[in-house]
Amino acid sequence: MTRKRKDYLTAFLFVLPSLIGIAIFYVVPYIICIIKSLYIGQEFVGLINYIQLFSNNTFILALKNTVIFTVVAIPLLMIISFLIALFLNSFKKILSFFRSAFLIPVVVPVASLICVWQVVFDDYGAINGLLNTLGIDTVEFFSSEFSMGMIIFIYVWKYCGFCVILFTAGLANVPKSLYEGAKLDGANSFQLVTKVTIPMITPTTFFVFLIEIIYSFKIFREVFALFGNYPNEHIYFLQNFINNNYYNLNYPRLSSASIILSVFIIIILLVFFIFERKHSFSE
Amino acid sequence: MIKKVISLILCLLALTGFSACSDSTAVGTKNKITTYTLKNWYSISEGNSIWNYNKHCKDSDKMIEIVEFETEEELKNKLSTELMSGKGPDLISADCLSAAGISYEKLIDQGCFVDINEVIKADTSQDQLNLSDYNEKALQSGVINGKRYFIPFYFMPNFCVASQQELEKYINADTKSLSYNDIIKINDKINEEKSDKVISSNADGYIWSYVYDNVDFINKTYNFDGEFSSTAEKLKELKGTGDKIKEELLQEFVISPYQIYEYCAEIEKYGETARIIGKPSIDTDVLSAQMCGIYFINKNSAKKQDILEFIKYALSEKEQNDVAGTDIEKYDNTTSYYDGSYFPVNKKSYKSLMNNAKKLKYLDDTIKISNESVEQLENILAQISDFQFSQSTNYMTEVGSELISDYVDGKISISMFVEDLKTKTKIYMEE
Repeated sequence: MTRKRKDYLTAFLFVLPSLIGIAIFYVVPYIICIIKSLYIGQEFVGLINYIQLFSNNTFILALKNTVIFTVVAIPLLMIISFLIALFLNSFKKILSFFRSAFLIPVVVPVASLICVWQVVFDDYGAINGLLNTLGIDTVEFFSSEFSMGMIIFIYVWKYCGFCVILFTAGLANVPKSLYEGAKLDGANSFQLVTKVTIPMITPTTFFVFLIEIIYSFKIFREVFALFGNYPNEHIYFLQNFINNNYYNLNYPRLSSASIILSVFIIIILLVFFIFERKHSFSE
Repeated sequence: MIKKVISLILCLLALTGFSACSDSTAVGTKNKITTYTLKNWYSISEGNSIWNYNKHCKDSDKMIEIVEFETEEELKNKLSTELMSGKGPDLISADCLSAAGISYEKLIDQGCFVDINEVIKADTSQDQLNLSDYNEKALQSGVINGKRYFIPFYFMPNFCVASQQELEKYINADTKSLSYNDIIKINDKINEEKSDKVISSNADGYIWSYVYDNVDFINKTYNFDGEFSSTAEKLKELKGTGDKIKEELLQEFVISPYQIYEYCAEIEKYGETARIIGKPSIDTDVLSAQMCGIYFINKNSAKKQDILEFIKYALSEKEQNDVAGTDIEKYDNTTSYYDGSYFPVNKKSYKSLMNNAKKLKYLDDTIKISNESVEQLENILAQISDFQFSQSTNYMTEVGSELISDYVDGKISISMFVEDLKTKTKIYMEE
């Protein structure tokens, strides 16, 4: 055996435990899930489960809410965290303090945060107290269309700090010479950001986007803790649908909904991959 | 070399880790029939049937092992995961599903349970189950879409007992059951009188049963329109009335004929006529009862015929007499619950129970019950046509309870309550 082959073998052996884990816990179940989605009981039904799913009003509602949340919350979080990162980038001395402070929301346990949000968003809570003082009627955050706004707010609050840290790391890697060159060419502050900073941090942006997609699905923990298995119709997400169908033991519906959810994520990532390939200048 | 050794150790560790995912956490003895429950959850009478069966059973393989779980979450996760992977306990009680917060009607939809008729057909033993020996209407409630998913062992009528003279002061109660409007009228008049009376110690619960009555879980329909809002608003006013135990107009805790007769005797003692009437319902011409002792057979079970032996035992005259307390010689208001409760579905046992109940003396062994009350009870029991599941279903836990509590506590308005109830019920039914 040549040395190169030996190295390959050693490397492969090192990777093997992870490969086994991924295969057993992700690949095989995913394939089983695809197969189950094509059956009802023991009978092969093809795409019937998918067709039925799209004629199910509850699934459509869950899909609609998930799309609204993803389309609104993720860009909002990216924009806010990018702007904060830009702002912090100009205050290098206090950066380390903020770096630690911004991570706190991510590490605080969900259960304790829920207690706080209940107090803040309750009909007699802090926000409604403030609104009432300003002469605005009480907003029923837990049982109205404002629930979605509340969940988006919690999502942005919780993960903003982490994304800011990622963006600041990306910003620190942009060569100063590019800014100096652009300034000599007469670029203003806005042009510096749009023409230099954003293209140069595309890989970071892509990574942040990936992380945010993952975190957007983790927000279900907060929704579940605040609203239970059956939240109001404005925040009934695909995760609720899948979770409830798990306890209903409706395997065909559960597996087909899971496949659709995964396809939904894959499509989003694929679009972003293509976008990243076309617009990344950092290399 | 060191690299190779480390990588091989890592591989071995991974593989041993996966092997730990095998059956090591399995509970229960594999050769016994298993059933799951929450710790100390089984009601005395239902648990009795299993314990008595185990004592009666000579073959240890046919005994039933009750596997107890510490928390609802643990039970729910274990049960749902096992059922999903094609395993699970052989015998699944309605109590277990209720404790785990799993909907029985949705499990029926998913074909998780066996058609007991098929098990009965496959039975080649000498003592085959003859369903005509039991209350046909009660047994018919276990037949859904042509398949018999369960056989209820007992039932509790949704009746209450009141003085006819007292009742007539408030309403013209000539229907089989009281209506929710009757309850509202009674409450309004009691409030006008400013008397010491209360409708019932259970008055807080009427809004719960009103919501439940408006949902049809089998046909997946619900009605929260029309008079629903105005009736709910009135029923909400009953909050707290049950707490002040004064003079109760309706006696609702009727778990046995003995108890019904005790209430009747109390009324007759003052020269008044006892009236046995259906608890408040939407359809006042229908009398209903709650089924008790409901067990489903897991379709994955390899012990279906053995479970049938347990069902036969639980339905036997002797066991039903024991649980219902058919043979008690003296009715004691303070201990009767332990002597027996429920109405048996076994016709012979039922007949013996009713015969014994009318022979006894009530109110500390002093008063014999009148023939009118006996006839009235026998007559009204024969008219029960709607056998229902207990209201503590998954729907009430997941959808109803929090909304109703919030509404009754004044946290949400009636419009918000109805709107949320509609959307959540719609989601619950359709998902």
